[in-house]
Amino acid sequence: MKRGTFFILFGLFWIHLFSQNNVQFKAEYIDFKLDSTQFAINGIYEFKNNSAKDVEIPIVFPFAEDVKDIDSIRLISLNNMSALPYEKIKKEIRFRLHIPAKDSLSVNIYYSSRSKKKNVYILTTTRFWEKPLEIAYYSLAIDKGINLKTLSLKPDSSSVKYGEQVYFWKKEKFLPEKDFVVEIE
Amino acid sequence: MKKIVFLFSIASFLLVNIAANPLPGTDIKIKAFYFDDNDNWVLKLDAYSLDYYNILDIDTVWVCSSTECARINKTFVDFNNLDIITEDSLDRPLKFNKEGDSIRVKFYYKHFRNPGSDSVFIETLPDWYGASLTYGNYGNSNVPRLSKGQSIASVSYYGYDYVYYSLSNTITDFNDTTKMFGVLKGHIYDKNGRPLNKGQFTIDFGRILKVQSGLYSVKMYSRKYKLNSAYLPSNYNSSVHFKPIEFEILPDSTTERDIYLTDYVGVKSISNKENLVKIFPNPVKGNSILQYAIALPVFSSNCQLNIININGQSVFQCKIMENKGNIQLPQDVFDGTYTVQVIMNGAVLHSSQLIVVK
Repeated sequence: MKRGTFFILFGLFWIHLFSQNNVQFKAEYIDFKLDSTQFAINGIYEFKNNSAKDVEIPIVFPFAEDVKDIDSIRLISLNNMSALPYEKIKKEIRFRLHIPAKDSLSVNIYYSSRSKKKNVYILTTTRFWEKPLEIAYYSLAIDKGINLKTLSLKPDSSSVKYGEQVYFWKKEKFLPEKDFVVEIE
Repeated sequence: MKKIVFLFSIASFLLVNIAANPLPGTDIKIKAFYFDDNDNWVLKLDAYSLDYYNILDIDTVWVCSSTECARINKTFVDFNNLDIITEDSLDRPLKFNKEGDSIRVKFYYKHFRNPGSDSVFIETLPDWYGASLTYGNYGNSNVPRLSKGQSIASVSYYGYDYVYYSLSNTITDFNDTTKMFGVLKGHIYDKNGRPLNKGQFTIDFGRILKVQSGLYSVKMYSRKYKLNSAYLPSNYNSSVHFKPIEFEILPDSTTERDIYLTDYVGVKSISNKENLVKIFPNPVKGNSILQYAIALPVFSSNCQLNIININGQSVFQCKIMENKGNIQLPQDVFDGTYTVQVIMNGAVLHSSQLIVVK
């Protein structure tokens, strides 16, 4: 009986392990830009299908405000440089990604919303993908005239370009414990 | 106290801007629909979820015809419970017209849960998302009215045209393709009317068309088709066009149509359909300024611009660190035709011809 239970649990463990690693949120490269009116997000998100079968995965991308108030949302598959269809639903867009077997797919999502005193990009939900991001590179460009109060993540480097202060983060094997928060005065 | 909470909420709304990384979602697909021996409808659903933590709780699932909707009398905590649905599974009567109708399944999320984080998260109730398909004389349906023993199912591909239709006489699993396919075959000719000797194309989102000695064949979902193009396998930027053909594929049958290509077969350069990358002026004078505009995250990604001569040698390359900028063409870039590539994180995102003149 004990032996049987062990084998069942062992089997369930492997089923669980394999079922959860089929699709991986592998990497993200995001340029954030903050000025007096807008908080813009321009990101490349890379997903990998580790399985031997093509998959069609549903993705939810939450927004800061009602999507009908956002003028331009860009959602592009960088594998074939074509726009992807999506549904705008309240404060999110939903779309499906087709990833061939053992292949990767990169999508570019761009949008901007009204900047506020506290601007938050939630990273902690990355754990819902079960694995750390292999690569997470971020930049934040802050327009001149904006006074930065705090950053939740300590930047790895910074520079000044055309009057803009630009901060850089280069993370690998990154399972964020904090969200990306930019507070301005 | 209520006033304080209300004022705090208003202040939070005005002062805080929240966005988030992509989340794994849930999808409900129509696996099959048919009328049984007593003319009662039967629907088989399949839920697919990457949402291991149930952060997007499904609240209710609805089934709709073209005229009315009814709610399924179940709470789907376990997605495997989404199986056979009949009129008895619903909270009110729901009829489908046997001659033709639409079937839509929609579901509502409760809310996002983000346990273990102090982040404010986003309410999404009520909204819906789900699968739909049509049959018979309803709308522009691609499948006829359902005969006894036949069912329809849906498949989706590449996020586009989510619903494809198949006719089958069994309720099947997605992996069981019994009676869902027929074969299209015939002669295939190149632009000059000569039989095409050899080749392989992708047609109708994922079906592989193989050419051998002027003949082709391809296994396709059973439904009606109007087609005029195919693609090179795994390369949806490289299309080849042919004279339009119309046909209907029936389960386990063969349909014959000849294909006359109107394009030469070959790889076209990757087009920049969404204008994410602009290189100008083109033509450009040698030893002058070339301008670029790249609407991608160039700060955080590794972005390079390469200029390659006709012999495939790189004559210029630079790292791109601005969304817009100028490049001084080097003196040894003489008049001629070059290829400009924009490479991001090791992948060629843009490739276009650049003409350099004296």
